[in-house]
Amino acid sequence: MTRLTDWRRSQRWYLLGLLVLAPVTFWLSASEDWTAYASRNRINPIVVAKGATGDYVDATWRLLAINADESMTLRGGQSAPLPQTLSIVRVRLEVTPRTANALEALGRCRGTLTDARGRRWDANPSEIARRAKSLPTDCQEWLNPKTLKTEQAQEGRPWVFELAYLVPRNATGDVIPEITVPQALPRYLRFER
Amino acid sequence: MTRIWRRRLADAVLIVLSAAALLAMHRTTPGFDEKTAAFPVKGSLGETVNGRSFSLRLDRVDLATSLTAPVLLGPPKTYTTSGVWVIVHGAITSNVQPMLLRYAGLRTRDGLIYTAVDDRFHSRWLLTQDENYAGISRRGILVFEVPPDRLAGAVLLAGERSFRVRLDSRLEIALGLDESAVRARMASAQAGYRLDGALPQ
Amino acid sequence: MKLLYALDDLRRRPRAWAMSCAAAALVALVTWALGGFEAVPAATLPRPSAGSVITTNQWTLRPLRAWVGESSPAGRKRSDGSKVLILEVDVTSRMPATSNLAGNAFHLSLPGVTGQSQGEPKLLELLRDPSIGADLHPGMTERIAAVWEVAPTAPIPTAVDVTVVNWTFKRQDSLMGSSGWFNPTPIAVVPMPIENRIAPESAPAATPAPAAAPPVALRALPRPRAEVRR
Repeated sequence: MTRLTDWRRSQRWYLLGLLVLAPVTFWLSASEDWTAYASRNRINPIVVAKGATGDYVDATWRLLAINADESMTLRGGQSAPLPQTLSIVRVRLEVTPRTANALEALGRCRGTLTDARGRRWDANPSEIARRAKSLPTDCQEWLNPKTLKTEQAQEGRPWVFELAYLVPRNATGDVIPEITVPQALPRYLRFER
Repeated sequence: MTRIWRRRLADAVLIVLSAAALLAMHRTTPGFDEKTAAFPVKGSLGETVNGRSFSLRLDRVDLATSLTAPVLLGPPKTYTTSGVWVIVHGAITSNVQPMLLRYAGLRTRDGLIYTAVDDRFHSRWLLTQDENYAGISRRGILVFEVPPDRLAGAVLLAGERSFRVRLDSRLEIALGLDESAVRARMASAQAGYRLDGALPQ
Repeated sequence: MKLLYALDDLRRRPRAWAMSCAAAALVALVTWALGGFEAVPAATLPRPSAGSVITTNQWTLRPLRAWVGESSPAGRKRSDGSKVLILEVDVTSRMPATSNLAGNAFHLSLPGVTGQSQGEPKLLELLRDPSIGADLHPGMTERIAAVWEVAPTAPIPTAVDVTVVNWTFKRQDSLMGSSGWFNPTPIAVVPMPIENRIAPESAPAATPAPAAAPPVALRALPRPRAEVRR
């Protein structure tokens, strides 16, 4: 027993150094892969409670409404029913960018819907890109079909826009809207219903 | 003296055994292709086969000696083959997120793989084109060109990325065609099969 | 200096010296037995004529004819006056799966003729219902056209030596252990005459100043402005 404690005492600084250096080495070699992963994947949600506002990329976000439609508007303005297995979910959001960086970041925002099973739908698929446009369909700018002018979000002013998703009808009950801006990954915004 | 020589003999034997063990490990270590091989999910015609990221259900197989497909500008073009055209009707559903079915092939009994033809002609019904959305099934066709004598016992392979699907599911759906079925279908194979006609129900 | 001391040291211990010499002699004997001391034979490749069948590990090839024209069989044509050099080949695939790599079997080099980096064709076309891209299925014979581009200022070639290249399949390569086709080796050279199928009135002017020759595709009357600029 004394031989062991003697040995430990004589080697104590080296053992302490090992305890410190081993995890540091491990982290240094793995951190590159981890930061690359974190910059491309959504990991930490910023959860916005129902009715509250959320802060994301220097902007204030609020979920105004989420509705499911069982019909869609065609180019001529008439409405046609969707097949029984499909619905269109419309998510109306309001964003108030606070800085110029926020305005620039908004240009690359992406909207998604996810359900409890982990399935994901992307916003505005080509099949239902809105034809009868009365609201912006993008986080930052929009070509108004009536005035033929491009409108843009501005600092300090709220910008209301609507995203549409094509989802199976049995999923409309529990889908949660999310917003992701690539620069802010791994954080993303999640709105509770 | 003999003790020293016995030790030397023991050392030599250990060295030879280690070398043999190393050689055996080297020969039996799986290569990259085997380490990252696909997970096969088997099924047959008519049943929904569920992979990780998508599910596929094949309904029927048609044979044709020539195809007609529309061309962007001009009259529809006829496509001939030195074998036979195999048109498989089915429906695909994504399971998790928007995905593209990038790979479909027919594997014959002798292990040869015939990849689906999708860049020789234009057809909006091809399952390998256009994104599929989660939970929403989409009907369409897959077209292959195969020598008729190799068709019996063919299995359809489908994967999200490529034939060498790495660490993901690869669906293997048996088409259920034996020699007599192939002969009967060949006798009734159409000429000028319309790729863009209305999908039969 | 250290080497000299080591050698001197070795010489003073006869047993170690004897064993090193014996080891060196054994290595030399084995090398000689395996053929390491033979001269590398100069390569003379066979020269089959057009129409003969050449078998590589991937394909069975039968080069048929070569011609230069304005547009390829599938209608591909550039507007800057480039011509195309076409090599028509009957190919049967010996690969285990459908492949579009048949272009890697042909290399040629001519002045002004460009393809991919090693002299491979720019692209392949299928001559059946002519279309761009040739996915060749195992065991099915197809007639394909290998297409190279001829620069507008280059002389029209009249004959070419097409090198047929053989690739080897490795189940595990040395980098990642994955399988693939490696080690391209020429196995034959096919001399082919090149037929000229360019329509006579579009033949490029023989003047040495290329800037003066108008682009072939432009058939409209020359505008007065252009003449003033010249």
